[in-house]
Amino acid sequence: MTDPDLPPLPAIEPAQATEVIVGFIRSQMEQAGFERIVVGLSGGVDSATVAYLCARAVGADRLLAIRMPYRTSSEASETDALLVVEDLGCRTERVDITPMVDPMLELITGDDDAALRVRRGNVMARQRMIVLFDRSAAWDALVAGTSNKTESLLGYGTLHGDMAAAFGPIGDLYKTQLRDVARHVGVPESVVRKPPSADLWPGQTDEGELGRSYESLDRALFALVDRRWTIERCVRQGLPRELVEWVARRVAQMEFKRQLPPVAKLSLRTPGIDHLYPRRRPGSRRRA
Amino acid sequence: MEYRVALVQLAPRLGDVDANLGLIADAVRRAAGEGATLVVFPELALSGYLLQDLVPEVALRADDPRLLGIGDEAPGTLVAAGFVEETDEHRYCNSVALVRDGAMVGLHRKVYLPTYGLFDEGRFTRTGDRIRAHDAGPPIGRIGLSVCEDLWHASVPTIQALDGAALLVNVAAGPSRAPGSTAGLAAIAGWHKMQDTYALLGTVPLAFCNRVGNEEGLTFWGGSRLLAADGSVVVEAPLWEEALVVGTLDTDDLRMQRYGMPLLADERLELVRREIDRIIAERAGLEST
Repeated sequence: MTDPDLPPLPAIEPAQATEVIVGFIRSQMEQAGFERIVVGLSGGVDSATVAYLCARAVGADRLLAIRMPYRTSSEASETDALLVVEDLGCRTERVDITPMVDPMLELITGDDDAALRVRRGNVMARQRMIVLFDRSAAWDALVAGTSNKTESLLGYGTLHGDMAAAFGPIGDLYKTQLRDVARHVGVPESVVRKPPSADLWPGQTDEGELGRSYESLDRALFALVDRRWTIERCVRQGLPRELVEWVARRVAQMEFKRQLPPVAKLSLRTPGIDHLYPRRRPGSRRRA
Repeated sequence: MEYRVALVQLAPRLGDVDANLGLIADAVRRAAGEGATLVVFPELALSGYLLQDLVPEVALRADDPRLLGIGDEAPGTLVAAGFVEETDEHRYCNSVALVRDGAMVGLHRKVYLPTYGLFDEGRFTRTGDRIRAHDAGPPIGRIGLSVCEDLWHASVPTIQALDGAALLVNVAAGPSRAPGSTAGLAAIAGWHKMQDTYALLGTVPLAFCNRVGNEEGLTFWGGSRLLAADGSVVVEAPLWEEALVVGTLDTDDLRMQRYGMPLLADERLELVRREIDRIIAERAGLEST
């Protein structure tokens, strides 16, 4: 049940958003001088949507979707990823990260189970990043990011892991908006509807781990971030105080994940401070 | 008397003046083939928009032959295009040039540089300090040039209409915000509302040319429009895509519109100036009410 008086969910017009994103992807490829894209395909809705958008932008034959299961990954994830690959007709490759990850995981010990799970999850996410960037170098491609706006604002991702990419097609779409875009570009309904999960350990779900539904998180984020509402106003409009305060704190705490590390300024011109250039300019193409 | 206006909503290459001169020359040739008296290109058509520290690298003097030659493909045709101008004092401005047959007919330096939200223009370019109409001769007469954000300040088109503009020309690089949502569409609707209103209240036709394409994460929305002196839309380009659209205006329409609605003639400039002088003094704390 949704309360009509609650702050609204962010709306999206999927056809227009798709057009903008496809143009963005083409522009990113053009400015870097690349024609091919590599994406990690988990079987979830985010990476599936990115795969469909990239296939629209550059063609399925120029898209390599890499499935990277660990031994505990669910079979359903693999089934859904294959469903996407077959529907798109894109290239695909399966890289089992178990033998890469297990030697590292054996070195990760401790008493705090929750902390251990996060550390192990980070190792897996970063190993997948290594595979993606290696395959992108081998195939002369760029890595498409699969982080969405909800994850980005909440810092629900691994720095230098799943957050590492050449560009982010869905980085300004909230999770609840993304589902509309997913349906519009033709992501199978079973993938759109299944509970979101990082699949880092059996039975994990995002909403279980975050302790809140994406719908309530997106309502709070949209009010706080996009509409610049105060916490008090969100509460007056019917959002639970605990939720809004948690979200606001998370957004502030995770700012570091959304920015390049600061540099101690010493010289007259410092990259990122007063040496400011667009990535796209004459001479910026890395391939002819 | 009828004349035709071409609006060219292209996607300039960021930082690549030579490539953009090529795109412009090609479009000028096509527009001349359509019988255009005036061809309008977007803001910073010669350089692209998100320049940051590329500004001094792409800047041109107002007497640069490359700039004055943008209409060389079509003798006798007026061409308006945005560029980064370096003045004699090495001031870098977001300017629009109106040229014909290798000569400068009018030059406007962007007066309002948006430096808020997603915009950072005031950090890299300096403001202009003139709001004028420029005489382009028959058939159009005087033209009021402005650049994008200038039009979000009603004073600009108002002064230009009062300065005798028979056509307002706004060149823009409008990046979409929330393009997928109703908020994004509302921003475009805001542009439409003010264009309609300025044409209607100024009893003056208005040409708006907005760029398309992507720079970094920004997507420019296009939707260029030509409005008649009664505020009606003569021709409109599509959103997001490159396009060259041509529309016809008739100076007789302007004449009869201004007879039927003599708003400009009735404007009480002394009254306006008196009140504005008072407000300026009060804001500065020089006088009490």
